[in-house]
Amino acid sequence: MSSSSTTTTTTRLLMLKASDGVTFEVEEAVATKLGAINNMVEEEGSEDLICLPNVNGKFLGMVLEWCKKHANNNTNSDKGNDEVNKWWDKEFVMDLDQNTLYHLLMAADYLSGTELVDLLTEKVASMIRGKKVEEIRETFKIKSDFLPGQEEEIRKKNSWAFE
Amino acid sequence: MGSTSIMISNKRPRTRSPNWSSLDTDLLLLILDNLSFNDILRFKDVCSSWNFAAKSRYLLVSSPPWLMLPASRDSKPRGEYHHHHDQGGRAAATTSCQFFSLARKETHESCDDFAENLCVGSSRGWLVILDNRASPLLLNHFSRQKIALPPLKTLNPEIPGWEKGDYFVQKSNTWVVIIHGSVSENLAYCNVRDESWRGLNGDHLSYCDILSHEGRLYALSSSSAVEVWDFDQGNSDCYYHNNNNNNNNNNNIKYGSSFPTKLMNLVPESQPCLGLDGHYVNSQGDLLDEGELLTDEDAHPLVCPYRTVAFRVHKMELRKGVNCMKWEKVQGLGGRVLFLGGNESFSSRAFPGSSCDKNSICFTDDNWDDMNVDYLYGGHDNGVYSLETQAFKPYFQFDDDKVDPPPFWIVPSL
Repeated sequence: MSSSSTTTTTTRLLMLKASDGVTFEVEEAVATKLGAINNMVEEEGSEDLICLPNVNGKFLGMVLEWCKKHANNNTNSDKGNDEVNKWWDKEFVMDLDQNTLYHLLMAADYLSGTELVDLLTEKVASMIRGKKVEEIRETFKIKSDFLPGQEEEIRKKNSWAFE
Repeated sequence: MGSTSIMISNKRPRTRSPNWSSLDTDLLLLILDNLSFNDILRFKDVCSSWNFAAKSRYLLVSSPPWLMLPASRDSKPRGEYHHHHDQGGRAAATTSCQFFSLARKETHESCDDFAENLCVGSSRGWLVILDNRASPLLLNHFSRQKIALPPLKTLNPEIPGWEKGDYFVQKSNTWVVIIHGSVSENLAYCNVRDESWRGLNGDHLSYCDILSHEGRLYALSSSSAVEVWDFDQGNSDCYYHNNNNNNNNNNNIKYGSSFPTKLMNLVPESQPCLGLDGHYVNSQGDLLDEGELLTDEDAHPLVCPYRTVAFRVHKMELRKGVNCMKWEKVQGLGGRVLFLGGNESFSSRAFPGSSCDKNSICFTDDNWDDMNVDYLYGGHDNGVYSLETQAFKPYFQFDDDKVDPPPFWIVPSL
């Protein structure tokens, strides 16, 4: 619980409704980790139910799980907190497959969860590092859309400069 | 968002399958921020939207330049090359140069074999390479593009060596301008599609630096005068039409023997005390002139006879129609950083926390006259000079005082 004894504000609860109708009840302090929700709360303070037509319940749940962890950990100002967050983030992205990662990234971006987007794009980068072009395409199920001539050109450019 | 009731949807929300190639450019740019240059080279070849993102990263984000260095002596080809290139056998080739990123403090070994070829300059992402027959070539190490230039022997008298190079692009035009000669240093230019070099006949006997900005060439003479030439008259088609006597285009008249046009000859009222070497740099519209002072007083005369000990910076404000300008001494660089060397000199924003912090001058050795007189030293005069603290710092730890070939600044471009 984050409410401190010196203030009388009670923790406000928000209802978030995902595209598939799944709803989540979350503390305002948790949901406002997301820039998009924060803006809505500030603009129309009375609205308690927020519909999120572009996010599926599964991924909204994961995004909120991340928010909750970070909102809770931010309230106690321990020095070790950064370390805890980092460790937790590492666990969070460790076993994400490219399908989940993609939808999570889309959701985080849509909800303007800047820190989460940073974490996820770093995860994407880690899946690219050290791989050959073909392996990257394989990993992310990307089909080359270069014209045959361009593809040839790319291969040529990647050969050695002086032969 | 007036959201409460509109969201009654009778469709089962489907989870679309991921489409990584249609990822927002902003997200792709965030991913690119986490990748090394080697990885970015592969990233750009995955598909066209990733290619676009990788290229725009180098248009949007100005990052500190890279330093081209001789290969470290004990450098071995890394396993990475086996990954990167299909011809695994080639990875065993010895590396002859490496690139050091000031931003990421990472070194990137190059497998380009420069053994028979000499890098003599760099400008805007391009290396200027002379092969063993003195045929110059522009090479973009990062995009792998190559442009062959006319052989230097087409310029009369024959150029014995090529010291400083500059090139620039205007519209579809790419002009290359060089300073050549040893006793008196003259200017020459060519278009990348030309068959030969042409001399650029200025009013001064000798030139020490050139730069290009918005289609104009600024040449600094040894007497601190500045000549301005316009290379931005129409496009190359006009220029070539004229050569073919095709007179359909009225503009042709302009591009005869008078191309390029000399616009200004700025003779300063008084000469700044420049020391031995002059550079100049375009810094947000003003010209800055670096007087680099070389001395041998404090150094051990046998081991290391020359070392830069101070910089004096002078500024010339360019105003149209004024032919008599002043060099004014300045104390700071307005928070910017200068990069000087054998390459085209340039300024950039400061990168706090890196070696190139505000009001500092990053320099490489371009003391061409003395560089090859001894096998113990040469190319060693490198560092960062802070105009604020007037102190020198190294940006890279070299093995010894012989750095051959001397380092060049290079701005990565794809």
